[in-house]
Amino acid sequence: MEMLLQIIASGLLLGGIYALLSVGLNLIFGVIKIVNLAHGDFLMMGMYATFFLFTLKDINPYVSVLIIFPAFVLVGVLIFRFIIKPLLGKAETEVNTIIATAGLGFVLQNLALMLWKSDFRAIETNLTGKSYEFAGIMLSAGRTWAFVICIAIALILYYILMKTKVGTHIRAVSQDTDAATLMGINVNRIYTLTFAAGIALVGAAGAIITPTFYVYPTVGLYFNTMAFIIVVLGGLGSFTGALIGGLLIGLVESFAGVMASSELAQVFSLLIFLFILFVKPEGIMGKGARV
Amino acid sequence: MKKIVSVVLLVVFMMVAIVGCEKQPAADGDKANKEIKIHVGVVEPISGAQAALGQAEYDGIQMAIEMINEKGGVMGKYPITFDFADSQSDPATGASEAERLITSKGVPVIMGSYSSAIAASISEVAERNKVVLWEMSGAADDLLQKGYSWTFRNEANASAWGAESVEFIMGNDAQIQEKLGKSAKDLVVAIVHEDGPYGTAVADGNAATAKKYGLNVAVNEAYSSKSVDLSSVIMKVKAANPDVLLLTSYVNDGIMFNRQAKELGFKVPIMITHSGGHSVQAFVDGVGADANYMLTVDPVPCNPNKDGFSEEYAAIFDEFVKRWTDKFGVPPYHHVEYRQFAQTMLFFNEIVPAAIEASGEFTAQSVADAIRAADVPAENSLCGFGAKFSTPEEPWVDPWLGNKHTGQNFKARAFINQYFDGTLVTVWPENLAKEEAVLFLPASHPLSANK
Repeated sequence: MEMLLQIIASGLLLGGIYALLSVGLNLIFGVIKIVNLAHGDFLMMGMYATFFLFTLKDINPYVSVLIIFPAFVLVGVLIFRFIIKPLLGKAETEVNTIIATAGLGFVLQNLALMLWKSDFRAIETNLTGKSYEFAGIMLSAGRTWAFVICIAIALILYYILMKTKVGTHIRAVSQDTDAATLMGINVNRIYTLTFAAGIALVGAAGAIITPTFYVYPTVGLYFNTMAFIIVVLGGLGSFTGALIGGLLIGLVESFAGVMASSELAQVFSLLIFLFILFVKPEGIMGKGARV
Repeated sequence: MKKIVSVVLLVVFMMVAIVGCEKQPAADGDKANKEIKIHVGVVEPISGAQAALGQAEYDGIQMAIEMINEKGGVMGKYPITFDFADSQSDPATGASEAERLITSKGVPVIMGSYSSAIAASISEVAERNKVVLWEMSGAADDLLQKGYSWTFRNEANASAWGAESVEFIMGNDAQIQEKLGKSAKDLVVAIVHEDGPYGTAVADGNAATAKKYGLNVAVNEAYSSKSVDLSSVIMKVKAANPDVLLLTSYVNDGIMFNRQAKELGFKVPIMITHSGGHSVQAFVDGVGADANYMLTVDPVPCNPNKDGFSEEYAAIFDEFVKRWTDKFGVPPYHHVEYRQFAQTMLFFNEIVPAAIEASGEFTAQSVADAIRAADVPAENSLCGFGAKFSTPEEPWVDPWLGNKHTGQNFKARAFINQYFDGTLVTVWPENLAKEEAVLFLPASHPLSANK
């Protein structure tokens, strides 16, 4: 019984991290309808930023979110302005944005490779190797905090989207761009804001997971695949779907890892993914693309 | 007139060219000596996932060559030069870089190459080009099971390392009886390993030897060294409640295993790791004091009692320790730097002189012949064992898994080293041991189940 609870706890903690990674990707897809293939590489940049803030300036990774989030908002605005916006509203927008973001991803990876070589880097904080014991279940301190922060971010985002004026605008744009424009919403502003928020969220996710993972120039590739699976699984554009998808994949990996083998864990999570796509092709919470 | 001059000049040029091309007789005293150029290729991963270990290995090779060259070179008169290539931790890059060194730099020997996967791909290139691969670290068993003629390995194959850890446990029966109240053969064993050729070969050696003694292997779990989460592996091992954990990993996953094992409250009385990611400074830097008392099975005695070496080699050992400590601030007591230093020394101090003496030249063929003819006594190798290599005609059959190996030094063995105060010390076998082994993790260790 204790074992079962431990598997569930570890799975949820891992799933929380997966969910956190997918939120930004999902937001951008849901509103602007573009697939950001450089998502994982922004995560990598966030992780490097955290690594250097910690090793050079001794700034705690969780505190560094306060620096990374605004910095990445700025990066997001610039990238939207100069790379994404020129492609919107033209012919083949979807294909062109995929190519553009994939290209951006390669640039970021190679930039990191050039600047910091392909070495693995990890940081050791006072939470490293620590855990909280709860009724015989061990909860990794780093991952528990990542989970808590993930839930907090999800709640804040949910509040903004549902209860504020900006959130209403974002949802309106996501549902019908033309109607939103006719209602006097500045679609361009909403797009910029959403893209910047999506990038900042993944940058912050990078900061939060750095204490428990390693950073190297292609770390984004692994997480990118995972984030895409989760977003599609949960339902493209569905915010709660990404959360549920992340937790589900985490649980499946944890159970499969213990019951079968860790080598097969990903196979099982992909099987679940395929199964859900067969049964409900729009994803668990999908109703078409919307936030 | 002009025409005649042109013809004469042409004839003269042709004669000069022909004379210039004529081969000098091989063993023709000083003239032959001038022709001997000892130039080799070195391939190591100094970037990518294996960079930490590859760099330490490359540093070990360079230091050996530097020390030999300071004394005039091989046999005191042939300085060594080399071309280096970074395999970037990638087998395909390793192979293409080796190919480049062979075709454009004309090296007759490649030395390297850290990982078994990279070694395997370079071994194909060496075989095709008839160039010697003096493999100093790719330990996976299957490297030498293809019947190749140009790949040679001086170190013990990885399954021998796996066998050594179980033999070591069986050799401590009395202590186990006293502490755990049961005989060594009744121990519950968990084997955890990375799923590449190296980890799998070590685990095969673990499992085969455990089976031989009738030990209870409760878990035998493979994982990908690229995995970002090992919690399911650790939960599985924890559920089996083993007496012994036999662990084989690379550096990053080794550090992650340690981290997550602590987080999940995994505890075990005896823990033996296998070289790879544990016997390296990067591991100590990553886990700090947790490294202490960890036992690691290595292909070399990392910090041996040098009474086992001849006077000449004891002096070389002292000089190496001194230089390395001066340069890097820590002694060279990890398998990566030590093994490359020891085997580079062995190659240029024992093998190459024999090749030159026998044939008067430094070519792939002369070196391969010298390796096959070599019979180096244990005291003349810092590796702690002698050297005698199997051939395609007479392959060596290993006693653990029963496979045939060609080009394997069948006098090689594995050693047990242990961390004390962050430094590895050889604890087994007795003739090279500097300290007595501490078999049980002391109660102060975060992974210890002992009181």
